[in-house]
Amino acid sequence: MNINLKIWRQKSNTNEGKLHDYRLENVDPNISFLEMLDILNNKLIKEQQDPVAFDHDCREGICGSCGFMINGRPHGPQKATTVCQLHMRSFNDEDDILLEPFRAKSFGVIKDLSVDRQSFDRIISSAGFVSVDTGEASEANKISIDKNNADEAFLSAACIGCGACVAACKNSSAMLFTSAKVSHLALLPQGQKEKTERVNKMVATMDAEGFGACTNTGACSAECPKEIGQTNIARLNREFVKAQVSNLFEKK
Amino acid sequence: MSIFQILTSSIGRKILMAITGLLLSFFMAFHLFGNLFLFVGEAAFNGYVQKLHKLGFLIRIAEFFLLTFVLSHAYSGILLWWKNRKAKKNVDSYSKENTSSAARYAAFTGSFIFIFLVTHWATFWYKFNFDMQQGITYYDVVLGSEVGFANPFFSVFYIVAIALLGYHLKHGFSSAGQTLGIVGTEYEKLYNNLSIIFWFWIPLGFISIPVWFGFLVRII
Amino acid sequence: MKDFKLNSKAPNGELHTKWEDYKKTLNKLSPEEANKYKVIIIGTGLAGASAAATLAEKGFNIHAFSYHESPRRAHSIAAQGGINAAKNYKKDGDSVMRLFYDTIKGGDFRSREDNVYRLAELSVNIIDQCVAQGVPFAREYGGLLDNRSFGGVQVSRTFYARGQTGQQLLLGAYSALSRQTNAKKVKFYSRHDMLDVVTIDGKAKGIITRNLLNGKIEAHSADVVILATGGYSNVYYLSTNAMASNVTANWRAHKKGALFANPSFTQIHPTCIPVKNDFQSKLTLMSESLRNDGRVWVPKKKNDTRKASNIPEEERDYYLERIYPAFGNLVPRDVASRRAKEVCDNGQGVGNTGVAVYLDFKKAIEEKGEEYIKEKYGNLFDMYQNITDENPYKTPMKIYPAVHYTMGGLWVDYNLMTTIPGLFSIGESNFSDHGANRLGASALMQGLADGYFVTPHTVMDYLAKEKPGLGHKAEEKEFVDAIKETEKDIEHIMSIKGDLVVDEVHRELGKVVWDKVGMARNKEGLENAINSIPKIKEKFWKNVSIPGSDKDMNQELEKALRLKDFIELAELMAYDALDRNESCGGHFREEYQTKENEAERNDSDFKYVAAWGYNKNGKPELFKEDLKYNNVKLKTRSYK
Repeated sequence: MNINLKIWRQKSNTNEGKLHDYRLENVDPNISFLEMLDILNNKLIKEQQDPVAFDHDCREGICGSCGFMINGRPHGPQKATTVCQLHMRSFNDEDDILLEPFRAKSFGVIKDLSVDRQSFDRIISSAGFVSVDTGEASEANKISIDKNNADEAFLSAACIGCGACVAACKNSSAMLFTSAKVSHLALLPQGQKEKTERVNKMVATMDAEGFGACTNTGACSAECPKEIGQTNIARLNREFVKAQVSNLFEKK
Repeated sequence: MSIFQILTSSIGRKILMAITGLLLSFFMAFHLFGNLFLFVGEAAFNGYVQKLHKLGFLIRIAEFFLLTFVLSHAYSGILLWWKNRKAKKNVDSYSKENTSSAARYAAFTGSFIFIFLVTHWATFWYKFNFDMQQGITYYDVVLGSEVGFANPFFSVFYIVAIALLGYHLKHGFSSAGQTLGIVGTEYEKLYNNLSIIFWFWIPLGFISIPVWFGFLVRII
Repeated sequence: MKDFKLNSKAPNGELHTKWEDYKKTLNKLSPEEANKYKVIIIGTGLAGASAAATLAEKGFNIHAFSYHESPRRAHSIAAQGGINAAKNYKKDGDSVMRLFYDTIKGGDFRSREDNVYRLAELSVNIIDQCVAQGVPFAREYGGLLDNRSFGGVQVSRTFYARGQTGQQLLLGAYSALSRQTNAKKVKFYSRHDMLDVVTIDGKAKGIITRNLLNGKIEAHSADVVILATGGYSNVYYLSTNAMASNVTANWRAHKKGALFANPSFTQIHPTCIPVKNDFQSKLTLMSESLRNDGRVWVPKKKNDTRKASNIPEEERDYYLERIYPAFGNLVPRDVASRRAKEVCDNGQGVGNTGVAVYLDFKKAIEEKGEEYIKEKYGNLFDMYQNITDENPYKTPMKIYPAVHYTMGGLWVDYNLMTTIPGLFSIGESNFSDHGANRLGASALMQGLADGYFVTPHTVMDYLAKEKPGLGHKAEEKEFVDAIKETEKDIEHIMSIKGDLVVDEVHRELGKVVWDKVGMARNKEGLENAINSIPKIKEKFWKNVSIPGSDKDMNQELEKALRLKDFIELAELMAYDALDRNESCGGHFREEYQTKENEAERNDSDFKYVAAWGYNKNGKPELFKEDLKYNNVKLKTRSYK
């Protein structure tokens, strides 16, 4: 198959970027999308041009490194799939394919399709953990957890932090990301002690990082490669409300 | 967190919007209850309005609160909209598939509804309170041709505005369900069913009046 | 180095209490004292992140480096199957001793007894720690932790979180690390490649890094340096490792004097998705837990092109069940891999390439139901279908072995310190615990044992004997020289401007290493490799082409800097494989096999760790650490 690529090229955060056209012929539909970009880059290097920069690492859909907009959708057209797991058979011969970096104020463009998502790390480091020093833990099976809760916590914890939710959202909101971590710990007994502080701090950091607010369009969950659901956002809100109420009572 | 911090956080603002929105929806239900007296007859409607007027001071307090709700709902909405625009860097790059259009157009429908509200106050509310001429009843104002439903332009504007209000509330209720954390709990189903009353049946009730008195009555 | 003698420094005493007793003798520092020391950790996967978090909790100032943007992207995240621990929750007779024995035996008696026992002992604490952090392990309906059995053992001791155990454990370690970042005890340097280690008076005192965003070469000094830089499977070009996994940090340490142990001990994982074409950039592993319910087979007839469904039962060769009636499809990885190669070499391979075998779930689906299979392996099946466009519920999976893990690595003593004082190596980057073959679900265990429970004690002991070296400044001569040297290398590579893309050279190297130092090796092939690798090296230094500038993000330059070290490592691997005239674990020398084509170990001549010293002018220098077995009897591994 032949494809026409339109790729966002930007030298760095301080430079202006613009779209460039590339054409690739005889693409094997069974290669992955990133392998297609590898081929393009090899071609560009042979022609003494700068290859397209993009983030990727495990190419198994779990590390969360990869991700850019393909025809206006983060990670492209296939549901519940990261770019690295997308294959060219999802496209047709002579398709026009538009590649752009994830857009958000909190995700600066580093180069071409590569963006900086460390704002996510700062949200986690504000309180996305259980405060337990190494060696302090008691026997694991002393904590019994209802299987349903454990399974649900796992589904929330499956977030790979790729940023697709922010890119998909018209408000660049990080609510799905933040809520997944809050939910994961709120569903488990281990997370109960610090839950008030956790939700307050993580929401405050999320706001301070310049992410937008949630207007419940549902775009984030629809595009999430790990299908993190909207109930996480509801749970985050609930935890937030509960935290304010418990704060009021504690003061008295 | 202090109250101030709560209200300025993104979730806090949304909670404020959800609560004011819900309160305004309850008021709408009450408002519709009154409007439906139009179908009972002229005397019934006029009697109802007069009864309200007799409450006097209480009504003014209620109106003060309603206005506060509307303004804080709008104010939070505008602030969120502004924050969201900045967060996206004003780029039109987001996913439009599989998403709720009601949510995406909420700011637009909200703005339109605000314009409608202002005209609503400038017409019915102002007339009812300060400009009732001799020999003309409340019933006449509503169904008259000056600002009432005898004026087809006015009726159409009213119908469109209420339809958009329903659309706005469809998003509003699902959004409030998320914001107040009802989604994912045992109350979700009940809440969703109740919300249909507010975003579908109540707007339909409002619309039935201009449709009936503005158009159907004349045809039948 | 002439009179140098390798000393494992393992304490004397009874095996069962050795580590606990030893810990009591180690020097301690109070948090106030610890606060005077600076610790550099390279790599923030399971081992690095857990070590960074724990050392920070003890008061040390941690500077953690990663070439990723975030610690959560480390390749530990991709581990699917699980983590072993001798909890004996299933009451099936498991114990620390049994896990210890399984690991030693699984490693084909080429690992150090004391280290392995300690690992088995600590496995129990790891689970406690991870559960306390909120790692959502799979649970039974009663609410307690679930276990499953995993390749090569007959007890259920593997804890798991669906097929994403590595991810959940890494996120746990990452959250512990994040907590310390928040407490300002850890400073995280994202997108920094470590390009050299700096020694002063023979001790590791810092590193040289390249900032991948702006190309800046920087020096960082510290009192101790810990390498948690993972394995080097990417020397084969195609492997299941992440694209950026590399040997550079370890190789630079090796060149500065750290011995490299058992480099040819690499693990070929039996259940990977087969190579499909020349553009393939990496291989994908399917968790070997699949072998619990999947049956491996090939057609009995050679070059059989019929569809799997058209081949009747009696014409199928379930070769693992046939050869190993006791373990069947659950034989250890090295055995399963080699047998797959054998049947494919024999012309019984399936698929377009003939280089694949079937992994069939038909029987399990019939007996246990599709729901059961879906619940257990759903995400793996989805992944398989997505990559291959075939539905494994309907047609059997096609699998073939691929390089997955490297047991070899920097030589470390019982304290996990390399032969350079002050330079530690933990997790996959060291050689210590898995001998010649690693058991499934043991890599996560080792990474976390090293990071959470071993290094914090031994590094503290080392530092307690060192003066806080805040006096060492990055301006000192050793650092300045190292920066200059690194810059010279980069300048050189940038100036070549040849006509080969880095990947082309890498693919060529990979083919040589896979063919000659892969699943089966022989003298002729290895000598051949030793001859041809220097030619690839020359090609690299003459013909490679790096576009753009080294002063901003340049992913081709990153790859080139990694490849140049892979090439040198490849040569060492061939030397190591050639030296070891026996077959053991993942190292299978065709000359040394039994009549039944099993590995033939030679304990009288090769019961040692081969630790190699770097030699600038030719053949590497071999140092041997003799392995002593006081608690287990050396046996020929048998899974029949």
